[in-house]
Amino acid sequence: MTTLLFAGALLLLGVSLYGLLVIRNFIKILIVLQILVKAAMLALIAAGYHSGQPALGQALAVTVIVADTIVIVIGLALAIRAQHQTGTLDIDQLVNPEG
Amino acid sequence: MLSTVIGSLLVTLMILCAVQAVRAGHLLTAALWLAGVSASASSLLFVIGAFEIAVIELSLSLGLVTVLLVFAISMIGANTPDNPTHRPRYGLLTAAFTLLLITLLNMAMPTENTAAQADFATALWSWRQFDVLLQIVLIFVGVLSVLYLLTGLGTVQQTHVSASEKAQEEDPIVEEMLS
Repeated sequence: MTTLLFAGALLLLGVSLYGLLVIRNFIKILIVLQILVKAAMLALIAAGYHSGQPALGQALAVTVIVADTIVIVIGLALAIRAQHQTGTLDIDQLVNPEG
Repeated sequence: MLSTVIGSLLVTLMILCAVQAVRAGHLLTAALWLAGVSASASSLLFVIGAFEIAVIELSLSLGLVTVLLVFAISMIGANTPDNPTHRPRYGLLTAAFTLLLITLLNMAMPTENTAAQADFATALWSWRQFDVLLQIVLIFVGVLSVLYLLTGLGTVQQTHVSASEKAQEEDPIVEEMLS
């Protein structure tokens, strides 16, 4: 079961890395970041089970989940602010508005 | 045996939802596929026996984050399409890299360790108490940041509009360009 968790985490990592390379929309990047953090959380829990300390892995996963929620809350607030001020959510245009 | 089969199905479902979330053209669809990823992940955590994390994942990721995403998308406008600039060139490379990592991991993984175990409450409140403090600080910082970012949104837009109107009134060239 631990190998299955690790494999799931790695596949999620691959999907989210591909998404981060391809996607240009601010909110969709936040969605892909959520997938990336889920991969990290699964890997932590799998590592906990593998090392014989599942409770420690779960305690670390709680911290990851809370931090991830704060990240998406602040990210969404930033996206709303950017949309109101610049009228776009495209990362390229937000970084370089004139080009 | 049965839990392994259910776990494999849940991992497959989770990956499929994640791929669909990345591929989805519209933001609302992507948010709903992300909710599918969270539901599969929390079911998987329940199957392997991590009940507390499954509940936290269900309530925060599937509940709060989905509601916040739908709220933000409805504020911005759900018909904001994503325009990927360079599409599937990296797909094969990423898949090959992931398969290589899985193979290396399976080869390098040592046998499972059965060290002394503690329950979840002891691990969280005794061993990781600074993490709990960090979480509380993070929540306060998050609330303050959102308040700071979202305060006066209407006035910002109003200021922007009034500045352009003012420039239009003052300069006939600007007026001509804008018309």
